[in-house]
Amino acid sequence: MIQGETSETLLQVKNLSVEYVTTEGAAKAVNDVSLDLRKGETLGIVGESGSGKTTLGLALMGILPPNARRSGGTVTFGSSELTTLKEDKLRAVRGKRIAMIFQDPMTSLNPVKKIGDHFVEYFRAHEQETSREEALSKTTEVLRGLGISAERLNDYPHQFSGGMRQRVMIGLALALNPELIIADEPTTALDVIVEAQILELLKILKRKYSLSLILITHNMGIVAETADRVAVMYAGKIAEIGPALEVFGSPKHPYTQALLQSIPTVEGERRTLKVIPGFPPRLTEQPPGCSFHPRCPYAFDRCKVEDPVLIPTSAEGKAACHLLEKK
Amino acid sequence: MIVGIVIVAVVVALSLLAPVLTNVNPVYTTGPPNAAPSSQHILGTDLYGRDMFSRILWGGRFLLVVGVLAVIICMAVGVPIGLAASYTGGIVGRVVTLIMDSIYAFPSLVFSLLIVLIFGSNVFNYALAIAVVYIPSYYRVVRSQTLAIKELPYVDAARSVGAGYFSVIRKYIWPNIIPSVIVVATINFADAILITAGLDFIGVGDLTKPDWGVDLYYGRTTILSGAWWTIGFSGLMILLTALGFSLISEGYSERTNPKLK
Amino acid sequence: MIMILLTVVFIIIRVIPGNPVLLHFEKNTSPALIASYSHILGLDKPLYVQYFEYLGGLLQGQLGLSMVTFEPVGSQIAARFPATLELTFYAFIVAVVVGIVLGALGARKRGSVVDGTVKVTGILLYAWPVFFLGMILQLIFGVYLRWLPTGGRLCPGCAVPAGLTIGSFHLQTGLYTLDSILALNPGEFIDSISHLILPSVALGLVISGVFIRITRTNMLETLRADYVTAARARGLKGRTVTYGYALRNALLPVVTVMGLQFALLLSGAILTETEFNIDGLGRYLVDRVAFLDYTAIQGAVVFLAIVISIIALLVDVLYAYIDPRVRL
Repeated sequence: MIQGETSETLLQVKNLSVEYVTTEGAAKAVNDVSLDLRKGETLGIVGESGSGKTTLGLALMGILPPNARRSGGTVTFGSSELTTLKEDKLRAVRGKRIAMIFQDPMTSLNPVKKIGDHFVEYFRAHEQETSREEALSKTTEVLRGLGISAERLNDYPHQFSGGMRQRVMIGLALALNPELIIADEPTTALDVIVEAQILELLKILKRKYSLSLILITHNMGIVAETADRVAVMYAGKIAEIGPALEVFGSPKHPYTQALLQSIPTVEGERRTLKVIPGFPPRLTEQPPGCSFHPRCPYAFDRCKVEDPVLIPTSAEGKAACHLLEKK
Repeated sequence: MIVGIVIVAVVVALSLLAPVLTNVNPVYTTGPPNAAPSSQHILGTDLYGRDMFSRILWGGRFLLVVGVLAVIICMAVGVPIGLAASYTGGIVGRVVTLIMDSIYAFPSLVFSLLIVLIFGSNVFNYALAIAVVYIPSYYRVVRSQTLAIKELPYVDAARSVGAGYFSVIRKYIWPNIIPSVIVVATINFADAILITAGLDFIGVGDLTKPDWGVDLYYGRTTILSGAWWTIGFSGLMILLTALGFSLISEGYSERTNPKLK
Repeated sequence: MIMILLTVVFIIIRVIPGNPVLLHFEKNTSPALIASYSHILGLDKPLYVQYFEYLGGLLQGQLGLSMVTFEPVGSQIAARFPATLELTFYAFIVAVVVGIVLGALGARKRGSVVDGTVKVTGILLYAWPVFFLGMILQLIFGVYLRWLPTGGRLCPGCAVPAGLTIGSFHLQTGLYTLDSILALNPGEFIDSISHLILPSVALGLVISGVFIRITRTNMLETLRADYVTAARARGLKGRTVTYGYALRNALLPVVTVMGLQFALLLSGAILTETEFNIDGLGRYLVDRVAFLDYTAIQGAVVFLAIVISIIALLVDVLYAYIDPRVRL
């Protein structure tokens, strides 16, 4: 990937692989993924459920569940190689330099902890010298910035509405001024109106605090709206990656094309819904060659045998498909 | 779970084969009192000079029979009531549940004590007492399953094509409650053993029968002089039997509900 | 709920076998003797009168008269209840501490040998007959090692802790450990505690089996919860997350179970008191059984039922207090 000379690379992921240990063998949820993120950019990662995008997000932070492990690759953030850091150094990065927003704000907040206490605990975990009063006043500030009044500090998560809870999550993510935010399906659990508000809020905050954002979702619509670059994942691998306009305007990978075609639109003529036939492969039994070939309308012999690698398709775009080499 | 089954099988076998394995009478004095284990009395003798080994072999019968009866009564009563009350629902369901909850909280030992004391200490009464206090457990388990299933769409579908009351229960609900009932039944058995032995230990009931609990009743005073064999083996047998059933229960529930692992 | 229990007990003792006095005596006692007993105990009145009199008496704290000594059952129970209370209290602490510590340990090290051991220990403890465990402990610590006394509440011949006396104000709870603290007498305290160790441990360990299991099961679930991942994502320390987030939430349902376990504790107390010669409510019940003193037995059982119901109520209130979702 040719790096733009004007902005520096914030995050570099090289050949990252993550496996889940299951009773049926190892499931490769993330399979040899490489990507870069530039400072100030919004990278969207899209894919179906099970494509590995959430696991990728968790792996970047080093908070994989106990039955998963990183089986290869490196993650470099700024000048630190996260994958080699010891746990206590990694903890200093988590929450402070990289923060994460989760899908369901109801289950992501501790139900027996007051909202204020979530923040206080958080502040004091990262800056030991902070007194409780200082932490509380910082919290009030953050909440005000999100449109939540200070009286609600002593309330519990279940007393907030869905949209407000997500704002609290965003508040928690931003409180220590991180450089990068990973948002995993931030609006999936919300209704459309609230979703629009939250996306707008993210945009504003990103500009205001010069954040870089990784947006993980299966919703192509919000990626098209907010992302600078997009990576399309399938079965743990990146199928296509490039500037959003390119990927959405002229998709090179058959999977991307099929995805875009399957989005129902209100405009245009009425047509039957196009679906991609078949199912994504089980991660414990990936088909030989290209993972997508069983469902690809253009598959030919080479696809069944050889797994394609990412090839540049333009100045900034890449895709992994044998078709590209034919042309 | 396998371990549990093995243990239980051994205990049952020992109890059944008692007459074959020993010809020493467990009830009469056959040796010096409180004799330590020796070649003549492999497990020693109790304070009346009765041979511990044969007492161990014979001592399980009563407990096992009580257990079997208790479980049978419980299942025969608890499951149908659970099914009927939960499936019918409404006021009937609520009233029955209220009664069941009241009984559920009551300590089984105390209740069994009352029953056996007043009505006599034969096998059936023990079983009945334990059963009464345990029925609520079956009821609850059956009820929660029934309620869950009864609301499922495919049950509605079946009823809309005319499936009757009993056939719905038979075809849809019954197969699903069997695993839970087995889990409760095995624990029930374990508890029955413990309660019966406990009652014997207190001194309720027939103290002349060879029984592990009775051994502990008599052994209480003798151990203070160091005669551990008067209770060690009997207690161990009670423990093993209860443990065996508990393991079966745990193991079975883990198999049918792998999340719990 | 209490009413149902009371009525059931009453029915069993009074109604079904007829006159309990008949049960008390041998078959061929003179009818005159039976009649006079019945009269003194108030048992010759019509049943429904007896029932209401009994209920009325309960409200005033009367539990009937003992068939054997004609003393009020109530005062006999009151003299002995503190012993049981003390025992169950310490046993409960043992059970909860052991249960939660081991359960959390098993959940944290899920799938490992430690976890397997914890699981089996939980089952093993619960299946262990309490009186057997008591005996083993007596043997090991009382007879062989001679570290701890094997029975009773105080050393033979020692005085009962006097409690607190300020001027004319006198407080003696009957809970020996508390009374000895109030009387500022360390010797008495050590004596009463040392007598309590073995029985509390025996009873507590057996009850802990249940707590181990549910703590572990609940914690396995909470450890996978989203809020745990989110907390880790904020860079919180592992220990903070495990205990403040996972364990804390896992324990909520455990509280609801505590009420039930109390009933078990009381059953176990009956056996433990018999074993260790502690003069508490459990032992009282067993003794009365030996004497066929039915009115006393009824009184004791009724008392137990009331205590259990009260505890169940308290547990419900406690749960509502600690779970913010219910409270507000």
